[in-house]
Amino acid sequence: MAHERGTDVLRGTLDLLILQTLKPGPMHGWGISQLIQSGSRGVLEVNQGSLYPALQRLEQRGWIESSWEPTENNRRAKYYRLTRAGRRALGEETANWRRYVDAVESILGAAEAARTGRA
Amino acid sequence: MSRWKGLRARLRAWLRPRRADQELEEELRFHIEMETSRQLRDGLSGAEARRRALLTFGSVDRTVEEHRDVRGVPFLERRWRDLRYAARGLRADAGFTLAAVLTLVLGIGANTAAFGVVDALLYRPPAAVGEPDGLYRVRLLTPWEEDGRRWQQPVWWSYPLYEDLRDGSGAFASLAAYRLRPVIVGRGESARELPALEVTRNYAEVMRVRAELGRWFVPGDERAAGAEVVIGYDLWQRQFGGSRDVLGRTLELSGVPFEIIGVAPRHFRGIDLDPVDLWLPVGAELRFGSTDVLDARNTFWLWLAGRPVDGMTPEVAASRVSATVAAGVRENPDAPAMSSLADLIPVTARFASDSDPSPVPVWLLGITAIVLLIACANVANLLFARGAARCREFAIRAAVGASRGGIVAQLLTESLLLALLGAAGGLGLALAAGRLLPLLDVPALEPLIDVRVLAFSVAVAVLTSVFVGLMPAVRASRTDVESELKSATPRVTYDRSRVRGALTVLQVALSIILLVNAGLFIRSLRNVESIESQFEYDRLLVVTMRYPRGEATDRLLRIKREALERISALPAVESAALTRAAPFYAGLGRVRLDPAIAGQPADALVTSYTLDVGPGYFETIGMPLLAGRAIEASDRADTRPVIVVNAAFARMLGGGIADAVGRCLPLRRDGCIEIVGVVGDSRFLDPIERAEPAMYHPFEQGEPGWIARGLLLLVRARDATSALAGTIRRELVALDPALQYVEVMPMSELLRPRFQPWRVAMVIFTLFGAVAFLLAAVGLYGVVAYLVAARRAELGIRIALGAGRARILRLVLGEGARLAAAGAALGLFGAFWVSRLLENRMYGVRPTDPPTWLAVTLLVAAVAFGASWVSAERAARVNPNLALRSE
Repeated sequence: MAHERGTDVLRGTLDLLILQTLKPGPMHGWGISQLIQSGSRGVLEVNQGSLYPALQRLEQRGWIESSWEPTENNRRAKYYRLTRAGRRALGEETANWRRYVDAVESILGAAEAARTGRA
Repeated sequence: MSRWKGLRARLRAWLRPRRADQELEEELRFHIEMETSRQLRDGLSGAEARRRALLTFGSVDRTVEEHRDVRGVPFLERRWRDLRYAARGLRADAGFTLAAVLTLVLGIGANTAAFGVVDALLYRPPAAVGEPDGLYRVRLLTPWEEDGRRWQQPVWWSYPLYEDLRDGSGAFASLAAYRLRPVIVGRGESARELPALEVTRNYAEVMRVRAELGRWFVPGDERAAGAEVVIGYDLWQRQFGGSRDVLGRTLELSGVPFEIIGVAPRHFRGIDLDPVDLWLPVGAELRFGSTDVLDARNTFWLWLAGRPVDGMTPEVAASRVSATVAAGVRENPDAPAMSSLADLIPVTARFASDSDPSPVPVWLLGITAIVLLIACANVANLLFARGAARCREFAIRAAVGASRGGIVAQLLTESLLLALLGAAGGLGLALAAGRLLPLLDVPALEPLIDVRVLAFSVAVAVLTSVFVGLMPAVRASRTDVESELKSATPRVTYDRSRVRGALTVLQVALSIILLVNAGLFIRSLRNVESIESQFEYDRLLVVTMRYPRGEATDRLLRIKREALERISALPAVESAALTRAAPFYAGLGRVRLDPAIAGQPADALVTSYTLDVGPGYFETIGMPLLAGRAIEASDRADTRPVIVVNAAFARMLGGGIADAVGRCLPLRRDGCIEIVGVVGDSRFLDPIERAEPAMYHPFEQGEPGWIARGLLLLVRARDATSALAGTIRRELVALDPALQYVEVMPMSELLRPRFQPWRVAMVIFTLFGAVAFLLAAVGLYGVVAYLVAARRAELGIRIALGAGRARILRLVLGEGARLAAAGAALGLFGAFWVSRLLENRMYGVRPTDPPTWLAVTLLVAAVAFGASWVSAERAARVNPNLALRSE
């Protein structure tokens, strides 16, 4: 079981998804997992357990910060929100992701066009 | 900013791990409950909902574990874990730990002590002096020659010269003068002599020293200085119990009352190493009776220290000083011709001059470095052996995921822990050693351990741990996991590296070098000390009677003659004599003689000691009369001038000893002095000097003023008990209450400081030789034991094939013998060279002194034999079945 080698590159898409989920506003851990699940229309089923180490990693890198707040039902939960650096990282990584997806898609699209004869 | 938030999160988790656990638990509980609620909403029943929630979540344990792994500061946590594991491991293997730590305590402790000594003697800035970097000694140098060596000897300054430099040279922002002299504190029988420093009133300003209590002198005209004294910290504690109402009290110093105005800071003694108990203004000399000492250009008695003008380099300042001195000489024609070569030396450079380059401290550091190397070799061997025995453990750790670097880190942590324990113990050892220094007549170097020494100790510990632990750690981490885990019994892999054998050979060699030289120094010291016993110097007492200045000459002479009578009458006294000169002590002069006396060419250098002695001197000292007669009471100022010479002098004159009697020497302008007797040779300044010519004049025929003040009483006691000293003191105080102070000292005590170099060398070499040898013996044992363990299978086979006990013993002993022999050969060779280097410091013994070398060789052989025997015994008792099965 390898441990994290600390780099500045986003580790996997989970971290990106978490940041994206927090973009509109703060949320607690369970909420984040639900949002990711629903947001992906059920396609992505986050292994809920791996969420928490990821949240801690992001917090230690300074991209999110946490605080204990009362919920609507007046229970206590740990809420996470983006920091400025996190917002910046999200922007960069989103752009990177988009570029990556576009590249893949254009290759796939070209292949598709070649296959169906469409330009 | 966000980085900082991240760091804060890390630190929080690291510092409060339990809090982090609690928070996570609460978070997970919340998560599970929310998920359960959702399942309930979806229609599942209570228990089922919860089960589904847990399933969806995944493994809680894994989450917690991952969370813990990622949080905090993993590097530090891992080191902390390593440390705890190392501590546990060391505690479990107590035997190894004890051996290793003790070895390191000796090695590191010795080095720490040596460094402390070297630092205190050579490099440490003087205690309690502010801004020592800008402070310089200002020295006046004159060429000097002795024993064929030439160097520039610093000489004293006069007060008017000091004033010229301070006010007229333009070289100094501030300049102070000082001089060390003993003063008598108190009076009568309880009077004691204490070292005092007379200083100019700006001393505190120049030294930038504060007062522990009260104040220092206020700068001003020295001639108008008050009767004030500043006492030293130790004196304050010793005599006044550290009481704060010591200010304003009166101390009687050499008969003059002084008021205590302040206490100096702890450990402060100015810029030299001599201990100082009192500080007086130089103006105090006026109160002691030297009325012209501040005005006389030709009275030289002061040392100078000062701070050059801002921005001026010491070289430029020195040239200004030289110019000022030269100008002073020109303007005062009756001043003696003197050198005007001056220099400025930083106060932190203690032995920069070549007048006494004492290499002993640096030798000491070298020797202790050798001892540390030996200790390191031993501990490295121990670690190798331990590593080999833990193969299984490392294999398991590797299998469970520890990286090689992790294993090496863990083992290095272990050796670091050992080294730090060794350093802690070593500091204690060094402290204890510091307390013992006064036994060697070395000036007390308090405080021996300060921050620098502590830092040195820690640095040595860290370096040692790396040096010692790296190779064994790397070796141990190289495990073959598969084969290791597959074998049923714990395997111990040994390698037959030659390195360890070579280390042992080196250890033996080094300890031999130390031991041989220790033996040579022991014999030297014995020889030197036997000189003392030859003359029975412990029965010879030197009695000094001190009077305040201004006491009349005739009175002094009369009192001292009476004293002689009284003391001679004591039953415990065998003989007594008055004398101005006493060997190793006072009154010794050297004169240059006309070479024609000795029949030498006119440019030859012919010198002789000259002493003024009284009747009974030779008998009291114990010198035999070889011809003619001794000095007698009939030799007075109004009778014919006579002298007695010693055998060396007679030889110098040419002819036999008896021929010297009756010869008339042209020593005076008006007529000659007749030699009336010849006595045996003796030593005057150095216990091992060659016999030099000496002349003995009757003191009654000398210049009374000079004689009377310095006249001493020499007393030969019937037996060497100390009761006589007290009796003499009482008698003399009763005889003359005006007596300020009576000092009674056995001649043997006067000699003791002269033996110091040999004593110090002997102690150092013996002590460290013994330690090194002990370590080498342990090392030898370890290596032979290791070799036996490595070859167990082979030995088992041999025994199974019928090898007898004697054969096995010979085999193992042979291993040990080979190592010891190689070490001995190397060591004896090295010892030869080292002893030749030290030859000029030995006495009465050749560097190749056979008994010493033989003794050391036998010792090494015996111990090597003993060390190997234990393992040989064990080898012979190897059970072949067990040995073969373990392969």
